[in-house]
Amino acid sequence: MTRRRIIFGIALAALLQTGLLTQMVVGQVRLLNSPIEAVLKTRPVDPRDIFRGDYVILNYEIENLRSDHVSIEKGLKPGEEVYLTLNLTTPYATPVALSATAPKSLANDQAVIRAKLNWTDNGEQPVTDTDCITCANAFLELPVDSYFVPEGTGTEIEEYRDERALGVIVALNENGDAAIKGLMMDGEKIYETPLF
Amino acid sequence: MLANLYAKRVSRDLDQWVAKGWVTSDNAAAIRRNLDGDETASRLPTIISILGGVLIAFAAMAFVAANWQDMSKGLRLGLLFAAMWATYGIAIWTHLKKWTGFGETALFIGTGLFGANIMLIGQMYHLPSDFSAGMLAWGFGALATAWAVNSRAALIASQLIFLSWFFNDVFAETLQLTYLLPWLATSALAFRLNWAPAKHMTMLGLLAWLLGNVPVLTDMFALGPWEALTAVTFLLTLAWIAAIWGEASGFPFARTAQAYLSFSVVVVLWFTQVADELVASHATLTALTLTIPLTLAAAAFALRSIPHLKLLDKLALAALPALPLLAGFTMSEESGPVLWIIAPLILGLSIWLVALASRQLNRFLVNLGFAVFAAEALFLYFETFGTLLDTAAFFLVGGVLLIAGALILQRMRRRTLPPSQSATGEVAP
Repeated sequence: MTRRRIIFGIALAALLQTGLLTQMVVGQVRLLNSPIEAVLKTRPVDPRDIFRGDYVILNYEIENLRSDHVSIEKGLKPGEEVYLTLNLTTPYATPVALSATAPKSLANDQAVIRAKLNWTDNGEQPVTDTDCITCANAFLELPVDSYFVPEGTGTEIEEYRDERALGVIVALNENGDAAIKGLMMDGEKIYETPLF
Repeated sequence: MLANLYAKRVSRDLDQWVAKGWVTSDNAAAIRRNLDGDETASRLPTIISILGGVLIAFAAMAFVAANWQDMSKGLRLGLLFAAMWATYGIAIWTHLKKWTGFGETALFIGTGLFGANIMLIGQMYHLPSDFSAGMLAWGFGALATAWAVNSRAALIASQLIFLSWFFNDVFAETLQLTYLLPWLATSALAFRLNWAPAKHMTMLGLLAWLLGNVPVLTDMFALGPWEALTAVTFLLTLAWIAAIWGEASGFPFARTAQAYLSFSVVVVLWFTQVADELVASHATLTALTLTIPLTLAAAAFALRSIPHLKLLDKLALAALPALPLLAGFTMSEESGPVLWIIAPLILGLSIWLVALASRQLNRFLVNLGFAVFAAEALFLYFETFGTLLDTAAFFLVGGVLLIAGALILQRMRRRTLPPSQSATGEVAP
């Protein structure tokens, strides 16, 4: 291999990798700068990612939907991306409609979040152990499912799990992309993700 | 020290080989000069410096980890980027100095740092825990390094990363075709560099992809377990036929590919007779019998100009997908596949493998054939004599059968392979 190939080859590979990393950072910073914010109500558990330190797994109440409260589009397929329209109410955002495509227009106090549909019965195999056996059910996975905290503080956050007092501030853009901006407990902001 | 012992031993042997006329004096002198060279000796400082580098890297990581929470995000990002660039700088410098081993180590560490940076940035911005896109980006970064400077270290890293990414996504409910693109890119480089470990990873990656997609394919085509086993055997057999053709046409690595594929076929077929509880359903799709004439046609066409292969070989290859189908059609719900139908066919398969191996002078296939024979004999023994497990007769009969079997196998093996191969283990190309 020539001297030129070695220098330019490795430099090019390093530049490409730097570009990919920069794209990750810029994408998140841009999203965090979005003016659209929603606070989502959670139920966290506290595992430990051996590669990435302490983090809290976040489960949201709006991940389990039922058609008597939320409009669920028929024919949705598990594993596919779906769009959940939210009313930006306080203290927590409330779900309005679940659809396969992003809504064409939104009211001023509405936002949309993109999620993965884990399972739905489309109203054909209703869950029988609830008070509405004719309702369609849908179970989602939101893309903001983990929050990394300073080592050892995960259990402190976990204590709020049973009280359901933990809220996650999520920044959203018009495409439904989401990024965690911070955490709220009892209506007070306790963590905020700095841009840099 | 070991290198010195080895050199002394070879030097002593060389005197005898020259005296016997096996090695010329000139060649013996050339071998001694090579042994006296400093190539082996120079490895020690390389290894020590790699260990030193690893310790320094650990020290840096420990320092950063201890102060990570107190650093601003900007400083953290700066550190991550600086560490990666510094490592690649070292890679350039060592490559220019012709210290290839150090250079490859630096590229490997650089690739690892790139992955660590992805994870750490993911942590800083709370990216999802199921971080499939991050793994994919890591793999492409490693692949870019591998192609840019023909780096073996980065190539093997990228193969492992892409395989991990595939397994991370394999439980999705759709067919995972995307993996084939990076697989092709890494395979092309593996063959271009002609590096055996990467070529083995190519085969392993392909088999993992095929087997990993079986559940999805089963769902997509509404196949039952037996139909799925038949389809997998059919695909593996077609690939095996292609490998036999490739070897006869002089393609490198085709013989090794044969080894992987024949082994996979044998494992799948073996599964058909022990899957009584796991696969408790009948085969229903008679359309899958079409796989038999299709395999026969493929074998007849692809292997038509290979003189040492016989009609029996083509028929046997065509019969492979029939075995799981037959097991599925004849099995009973209570006792699983019918042993007296399947077991003779497995034994027949093992004998045919040995016969095919003798025609191809293929040591792996010989050993595979004998291994299948021995395993099947043992399996049948346990199935038929297993009820006597508490008695001494079980062990006595087993011992006698094993010793007799070993003697028969040894005799058969000697007859199958040419004398030079059975003595040295070498295989004719």
